[in-house]
Amino acid sequence: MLIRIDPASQAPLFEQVAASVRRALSDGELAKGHQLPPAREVATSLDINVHTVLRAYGLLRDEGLIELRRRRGAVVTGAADTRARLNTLAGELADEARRVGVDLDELTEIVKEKFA
Amino acid sequence: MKTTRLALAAGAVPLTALGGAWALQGAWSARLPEVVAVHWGTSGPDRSSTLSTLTGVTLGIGAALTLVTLVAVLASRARGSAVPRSAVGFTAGMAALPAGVLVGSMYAALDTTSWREAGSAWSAVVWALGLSVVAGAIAALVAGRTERRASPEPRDLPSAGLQPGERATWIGGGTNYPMTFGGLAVACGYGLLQVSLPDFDVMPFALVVLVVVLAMAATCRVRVRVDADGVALSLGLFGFPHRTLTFDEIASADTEQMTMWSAGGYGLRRGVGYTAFKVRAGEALAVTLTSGHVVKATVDHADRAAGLVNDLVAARQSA
Repeated sequence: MLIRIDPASQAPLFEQVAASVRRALSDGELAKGHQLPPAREVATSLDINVHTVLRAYGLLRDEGLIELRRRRGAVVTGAADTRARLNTLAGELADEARRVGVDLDELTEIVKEKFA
Repeated sequence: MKTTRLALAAGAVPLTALGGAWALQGAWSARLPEVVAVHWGTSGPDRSSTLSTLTGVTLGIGAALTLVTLVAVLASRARGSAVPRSAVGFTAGMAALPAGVLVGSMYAALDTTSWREAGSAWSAVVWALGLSVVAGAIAALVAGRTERRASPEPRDLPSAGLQPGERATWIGGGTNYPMTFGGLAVACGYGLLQVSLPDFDVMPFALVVLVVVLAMAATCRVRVRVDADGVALSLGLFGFPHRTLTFDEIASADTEQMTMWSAGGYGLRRGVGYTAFKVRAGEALAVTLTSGHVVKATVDHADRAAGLVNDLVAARQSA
């Protein structure tokens, strides 16, 4: 799994690490049952704090993409494929809304209409 | 031309040894008894065979080994694999060994009337091994220098699209699941056998089972990490052997497809111009070093690992 960060970016590092995992999930590089690399190894490789990686893993757990198990570490859940794709599409939708000047309320209304 | 040399080395050299042994048998027939010694104990010859049987068996085995050697060498050549001259020499020597055994037994029986009067076992052994070594050396000479495989057509190397200032790591691997669970199945099966058949004396096989399980565990998985420090590769559940390639020694990276027979099997494989951490067939990361040596690892999504290696090499060169 490729994890990339840009220290000069406005986005927090943990969010960038989480985005890399989401991308790997939506590309099919990670599937149900796969283990994510140990946080310490990722942190050492990227020269960042291990708590940054743990925070990213915590975020992914809250999104339901991974489970954090005591002995096996971070493991991809069964719902990860669809949720990761949904997350990616939602991100693209938000970017497009910003580009064309649609605010959050307006976008929410559009999504609600489509959902109904 | 190279194929002809390999065919001569793998086929003609051992056949010449077998033919020579056959001719020698004809030339010495008047000086040999009908039954000759074929095995020696501490007190002298203890097993015998008729000369005609010994001749038929040894030359038959030799001919069969020659055929197998010839087919294997030509098949490897046809597949485009480099055929090391050492391997050709060794296999040709092994194919010529039965001829040496025949000559050794005949030499020990020269000018005797009974197989019990046969000479020292050492002369027979020296003849057997000597003929084999000489045939192997001649085959290696005939085979000529080992050809390196031709480089593939140049193409664009993969890239991960790493931007200046970005940091990245690729951590991944490849697993041979049948091998992983096969080791477990062997251990469980043996345990069941031991429990269900308490009178069955299977304990001596425990060591064999242990070796099988350890061998499977040691070669069922390969793990690779690419980061700014280099490429770290490790094999098996124990992570040994492992190797770290620094970017000082890396020229580029690419992917390639390995078959079940590529590199001669699974595990840590070394050959002319390559080292392979191989646990399965399929896609593999191929890191070319500045020395021209290629280090391969059968990992999933090898294109992304190769892309990051190339980006990090390029970043290092431009810095």
